Amino acid sequence: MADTDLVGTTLPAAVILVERGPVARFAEAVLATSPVYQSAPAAAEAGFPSIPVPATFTFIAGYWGSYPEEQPERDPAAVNLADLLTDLRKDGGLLLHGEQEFRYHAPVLVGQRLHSSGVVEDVSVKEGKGGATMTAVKVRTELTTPSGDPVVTQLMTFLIRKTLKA
Amino acid sequence: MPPAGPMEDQLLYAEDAEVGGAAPERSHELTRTDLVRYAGASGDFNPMHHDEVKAQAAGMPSVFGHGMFSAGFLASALTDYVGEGTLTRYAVRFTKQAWPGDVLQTKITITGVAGPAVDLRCELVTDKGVTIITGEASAQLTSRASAAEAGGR
Repeated sequence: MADTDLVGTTLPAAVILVERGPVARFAEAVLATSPVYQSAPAAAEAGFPSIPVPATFTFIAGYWGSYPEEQPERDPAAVNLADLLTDLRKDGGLLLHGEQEFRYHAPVLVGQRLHSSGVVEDVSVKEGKGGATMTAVKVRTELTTPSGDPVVTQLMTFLIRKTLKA
Repeated sequence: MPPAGPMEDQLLYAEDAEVGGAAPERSHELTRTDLVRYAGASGDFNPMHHDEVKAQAAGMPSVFGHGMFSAGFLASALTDYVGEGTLTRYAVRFTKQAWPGDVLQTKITITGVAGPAVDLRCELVTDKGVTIITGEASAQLTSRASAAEAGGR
């Protein structure tokens, strides 16, 4: 299968809880020193109904907040992102995170449940010198409220650099 | 380390935004502890970011920073400036790796203003002159007037 055939592949849908402990520790890890990530009164004073999350938290929110009993029934056609990336590297090649974009539609707050869906939006292959190729894979993830209102759109671009073996 | 002042000191209000305006720069010397803390907080346990033995076996001089650690640090400087919860877009391109010992410096400038909406260019560079990240952001700034109405603290 050509890499470009992956366009349209869906990632498993997920339900993700946004919890206080992970948000506080993640804020420390990215050196986000604002008190709003640590203190409920500080968040309230800044006008938030609950503790908000750092700008890049949703990228990793599923690591902390995906619990088995919360998950929707698995679509048999869906492919895990990790498996997708492994498949793209089956002939070798260097995998790089090339670009990352967040579009924020509504605040993400501690206590929320987010619904996540993802799709491979685009795959492009560029030929380089001596048969080397650079494959760019763009994955779009939509995070919404349980009723479907948009919260954050994430666009992830991976690059797989392959050199032709002699 | 300078004492941490109140956030309001550097917060950008809509009335004050102008093209060319720059956020206070933040700088941080990357340590291996930063990488381990980010690995634990993000679940990204790619050994290239915490296992020196494996990184060197793979031909790297040492472990190196997660791109999303750098993007997160740059975002922290960004939200310190425009305010938490005001971002409408944040997009980054990873250009080079960051190595332990690099002093990471944030460079954020306003490139467009339309009412309370601003566009910004954001970069993360090292003390060695290497660009780690180039990016763009947009925010919907709070106005002084509405901030005063909301509490006036």
